[in-house]
Amino acid sequence: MRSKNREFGEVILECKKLCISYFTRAGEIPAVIDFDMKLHQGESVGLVGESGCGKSTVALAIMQYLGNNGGIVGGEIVYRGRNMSEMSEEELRQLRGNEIAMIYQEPMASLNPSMKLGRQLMEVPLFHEVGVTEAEAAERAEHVLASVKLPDPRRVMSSYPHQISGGQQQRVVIAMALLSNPSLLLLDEPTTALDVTVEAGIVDLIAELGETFNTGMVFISHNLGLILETCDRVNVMYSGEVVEEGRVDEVFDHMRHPYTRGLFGCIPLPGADKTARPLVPIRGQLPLPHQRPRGCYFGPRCDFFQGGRCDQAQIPMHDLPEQPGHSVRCVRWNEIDWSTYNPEGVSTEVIEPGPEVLHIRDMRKYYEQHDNSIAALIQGKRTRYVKANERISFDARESQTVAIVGESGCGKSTLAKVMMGLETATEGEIVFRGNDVAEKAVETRSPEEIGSMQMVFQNPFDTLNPSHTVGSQLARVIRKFGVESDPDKVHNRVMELLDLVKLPRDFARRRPRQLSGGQKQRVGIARAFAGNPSLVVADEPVSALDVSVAAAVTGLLMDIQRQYRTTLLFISHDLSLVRYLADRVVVMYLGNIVEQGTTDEVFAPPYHPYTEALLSAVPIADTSIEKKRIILEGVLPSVVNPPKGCPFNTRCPRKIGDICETEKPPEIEASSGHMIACHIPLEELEAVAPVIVQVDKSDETPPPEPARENAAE
Amino acid sequence: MLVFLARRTVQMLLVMIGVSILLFLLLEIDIDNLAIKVLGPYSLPEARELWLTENGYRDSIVVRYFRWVGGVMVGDFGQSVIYRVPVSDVLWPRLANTALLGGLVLALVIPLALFFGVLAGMREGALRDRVISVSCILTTSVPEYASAPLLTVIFVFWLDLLPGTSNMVGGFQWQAMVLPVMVLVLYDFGYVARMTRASMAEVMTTHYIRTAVLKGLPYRVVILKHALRNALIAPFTVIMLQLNWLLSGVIITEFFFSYKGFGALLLEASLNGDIFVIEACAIISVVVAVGSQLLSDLGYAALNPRIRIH
Amino acid sequence: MTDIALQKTEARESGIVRFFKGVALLRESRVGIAGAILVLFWVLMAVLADVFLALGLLFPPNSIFVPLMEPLSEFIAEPGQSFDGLGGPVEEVCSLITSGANEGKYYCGTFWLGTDMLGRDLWSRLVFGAQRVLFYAPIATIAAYAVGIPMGLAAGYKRGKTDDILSYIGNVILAFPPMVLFVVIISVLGSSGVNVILAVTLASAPGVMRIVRGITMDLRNREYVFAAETRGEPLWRILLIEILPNARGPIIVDAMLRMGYVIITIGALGFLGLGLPPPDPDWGGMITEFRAMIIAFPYMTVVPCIALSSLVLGFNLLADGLREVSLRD
Repeated sequence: MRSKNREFGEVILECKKLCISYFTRAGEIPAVIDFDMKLHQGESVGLVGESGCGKSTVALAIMQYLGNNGGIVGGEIVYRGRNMSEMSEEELRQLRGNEIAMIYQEPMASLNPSMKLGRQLMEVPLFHEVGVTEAEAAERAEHVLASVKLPDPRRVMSSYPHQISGGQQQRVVIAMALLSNPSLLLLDEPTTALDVTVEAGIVDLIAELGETFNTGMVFISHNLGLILETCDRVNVMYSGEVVEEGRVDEVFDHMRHPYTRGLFGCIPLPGADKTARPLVPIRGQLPLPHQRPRGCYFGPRCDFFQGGRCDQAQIPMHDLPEQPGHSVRCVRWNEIDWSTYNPEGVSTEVIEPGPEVLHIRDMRKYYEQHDNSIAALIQGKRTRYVKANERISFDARESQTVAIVGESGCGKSTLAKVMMGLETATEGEIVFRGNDVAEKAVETRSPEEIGSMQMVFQNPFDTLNPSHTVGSQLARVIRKFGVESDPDKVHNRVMELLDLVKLPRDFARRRPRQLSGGQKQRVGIARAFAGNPSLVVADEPVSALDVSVAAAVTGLLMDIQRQYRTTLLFISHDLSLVRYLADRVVVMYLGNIVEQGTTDEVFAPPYHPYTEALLSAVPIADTSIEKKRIILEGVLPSVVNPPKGCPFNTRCPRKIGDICETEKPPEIEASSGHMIACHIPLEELEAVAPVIVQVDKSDETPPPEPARENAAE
Repeated sequence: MLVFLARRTVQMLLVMIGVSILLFLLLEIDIDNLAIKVLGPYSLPEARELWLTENGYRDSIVVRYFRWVGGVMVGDFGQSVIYRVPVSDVLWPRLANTALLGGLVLALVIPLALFFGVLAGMREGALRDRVISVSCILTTSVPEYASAPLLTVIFVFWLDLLPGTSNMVGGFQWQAMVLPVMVLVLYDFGYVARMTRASMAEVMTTHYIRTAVLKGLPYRVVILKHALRNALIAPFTVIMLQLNWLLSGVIITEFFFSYKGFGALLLEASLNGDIFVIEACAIISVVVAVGSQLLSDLGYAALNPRIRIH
Repeated sequence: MTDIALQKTEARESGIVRFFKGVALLRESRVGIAGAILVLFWVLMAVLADVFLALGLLFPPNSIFVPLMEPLSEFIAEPGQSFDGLGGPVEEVCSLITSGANEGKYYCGTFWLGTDMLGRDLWSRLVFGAQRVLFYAPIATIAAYAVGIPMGLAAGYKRGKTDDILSYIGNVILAFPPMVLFVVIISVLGSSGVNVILAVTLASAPGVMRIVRGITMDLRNREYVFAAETRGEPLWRILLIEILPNARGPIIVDAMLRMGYVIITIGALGFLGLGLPPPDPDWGGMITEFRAMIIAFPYMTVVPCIALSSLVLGFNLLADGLREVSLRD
């Protein structure tokens, strides 16, 4: 979190009653409604909300870049006292990239693929300052690359974007934004496309640079934890409106809007005790922009909704008298008694696991890659191996949830493919209910075998075939697995499945495009459970969903699993979520298991150094948490050419010496069933302090501070 | 990049082998028919048999294939039945004429199509885009054999500006080139222009163009330095593949205007059953087409750093 | 679920309703409408040609009347004359002119577009030519898709060896300039309707394969295909039920474009004298037939040029309109 009592300069940007609309064939669609914001020199304001809440639109409006079909329909954006809508194209050009710079979500897409990075950087001074020579521009570009901590700036200058990693690309984009020393920086989900350990490095860099350059920042994110780490103030947005605004600590500790409260209830916090603070989904889903209700847009999903008051006129912002600068868009802001509000959360009841269902021993999966290059021909090394999975061993019991955690490229998806029979293992065994299926491709498995091991997929937008109705897709699965064959019985079973995932029976006749992301994912779960499986592999089932919907889908998946006593393999990159639902956790890195144990064991010392780094990298939206900062250096090695010895040795902050580079680490058994693959002696690992610590804040909760300097303006 | 080009060259050689086998099988599998075509329908069966044996047509098909390919490689395509001279004597002058025609067409089509395509794609959906796009659809809908009469009527009949045939019996006349070139340009231009437009329009919606604009670059620089190069990658491959269509059009255009080119030669040969000329023309056209693909790969690699620097 | 009520109305739609809704979307593209009108005009003409003939609105296409009549000239016959295809003596089938310069002669109709060198009515030949091309072109196009789609699906889905072999065959055929391939095939097989269809199929199928292969390579990585694989669906089901229906949009657009090109090809073969045999009217043949007289009688050549171009234009505009509509939302 940013230091609390910083002083800020003058106001540089102000949005007054800003309204932005897009004009489509269906008519005008308001994207942002009645948006107010003030930003001071050096201050950092967060815009947080779920998809479609209008947060990115605000950034593009500030840039005056809304495309052909978007426009500001009300209010104004004032930059240093001047209304930006009245500026000429040339004046805007002078501001863009010079005084106002932007950092984007997808670094790869944001860089020109056919121009050298150096040239792309040099353009900024060359087109904004008079009399800059090529050599000066190059020198400055190189300098700024060094200041965003890119190793070997000279090499980066002469590279094309595809030659460097995603994290490095984002650093280049940041360097490009900083090159002209802007007074305002807009960051649109700058780390969403990156792995969590890479994200941690970028977030650190942004926070540091913001302070050094005293830049005003607008930080857009869906992740409350990131906002806490980077921002001074926060605007919580819902369906085009700001519903709550204030200083980060005030909003996080004393939220007043039911949506803000709901949002916090949905986010898994890795430090929290999962039974004391269960996940509480918000019911329903975000309204589509042209289907917003009257009055409060959150009304239909709110537990405190009062007909006649909440569904009348547009709701204005109310200032909280005890906390100046903290305001909330709710008519009932001072009448809700939160202390008696105890919504039902996702059940965390622990079930006694049954007998062992899955037993994986020393499973390896290598892909052959034919190298047809001339060099390879000469050396005679035609075939290379991609070591996607290296000696995987773990077990799972009936009605147990085993989480497999790791970042991109760790081999978790390959593991799923091998289990499902889409690939066969190169070596080792996968014993499922007594049969070894490691080398049994899906074509050779019986329908019954296939039906008993099913999968829930990641992407709601292509998990269902857009050409067929929901009902026919479910019916196909039921028939295929031989559950039922009589048409009436199949139909009944489809209805039962829809009931199971809490969707109306009417949905059977719909096509996927008529469903929202969360609804599609529910159908995906129904499909997986159609054959009464004893094992379900869920590959990041909620990572593409908005948090409020994700919590509900997670809850549903867990409920069904308990009801059927199904074993669940939950593949995820999100440690916080895993903490809530898994009984056991398997941590993977570069195709290897580096640590496994019960959830409590993995989340407490002794840690594998990678687990430790991973835990520290997760942004946590809780002001009462303090955590260690561990930033991993270097880039993820390629699986084609993995490091010798310990796979993590190239980035490990706790590397003890040459042994890490030469020898495979032994598996240390920290306690029964808790394995850590590391060369560091157990005693040393046990001595490591916990990454996440809950600090008792009861005595230091500050009374509302008197008006700060800036608030007076 | 070398690896990429080497691989493409090998692929093209393989394709050429396939083409030669296909052609050989199509045209020379039925040797009795071949003998009739060469010696005429009224020749005696004994004479045909003698001819076949003397010329080695009774050998196994594999031997014949390799003998034929060997000949083709050194430029020996056999004897033309109609002209009674070696095929290559007729072929090369004709090919030179066609190269002149095709070269002129490409020299006009490429700059025109790229220019109008980029102009249209810069602002998708604007009036300028719609006018250019619809015009392109219009010109690609009028095949050469329809535009040739139409243009002849206009320029020869009404305006009396140009000659109606291009056989150039009295030596080279540049006026006689105008109509054939115009006909081919009109038909080929639209397709390349539309490809360029689509590519440009797509590039204009990419995030890196947004980055360039929001970096504060002047619009001219955004277009010339950021959009153009990326937008030209796709049309570049099309332009060279276009040569295939151009060669098709050349046959029709040369036939219509009696231009003494290689397309007309192929057609004459086909109508008269002059098998060896057909073979030679087909092989040459494929060599040109496949060779142009290799050129387009070179250009593609030069424009696209992902290929150039693997 | 707040939107259940709102979505209910659109939930119940039969396949036919959805098809017409899709067609109705075309009205949002002016270009598409123009194309549809052009295509529809010629399709109606082709379908109703025989009806028009029976009603006396058209002349039989191969009947010889008066040579070299300019467009819009009236067919005036002397008493006692008789023509094949008029259905009887002039006195019976034509009307007697009772006044003016032609008094006493018979009016037998109008040559809207004139007659050709041999005295055949151009307009009638044009309409029957449309009938002919709109019979052969769709068959040839469908045949090309019938061959190209399975090849593309197999190559795009299976990849590896299957793809290598199929793509190689495609590359060999595509290495020929199309017209060269036609000339070679027709000079080996001889010219006939069936051979024209065969040649067009052979030349177009690799192009269809390439397009379908590209779409398939994209679709095979969708999770619903993955889901079908994990439940052990047979190959044909994955290709035909899971992948093909989702490829229909681009395939339909491509089919329209290809139809235009097949019409051009059939016309070109006719023009070069390699196409459908005379004397039945064929647009390409009509263009070439009297082009030696183009300076003296331009209409004979120009009229079929415009007819053919307008039909091709119709298909091209239709394709563009469909693409524009399908790219929205």
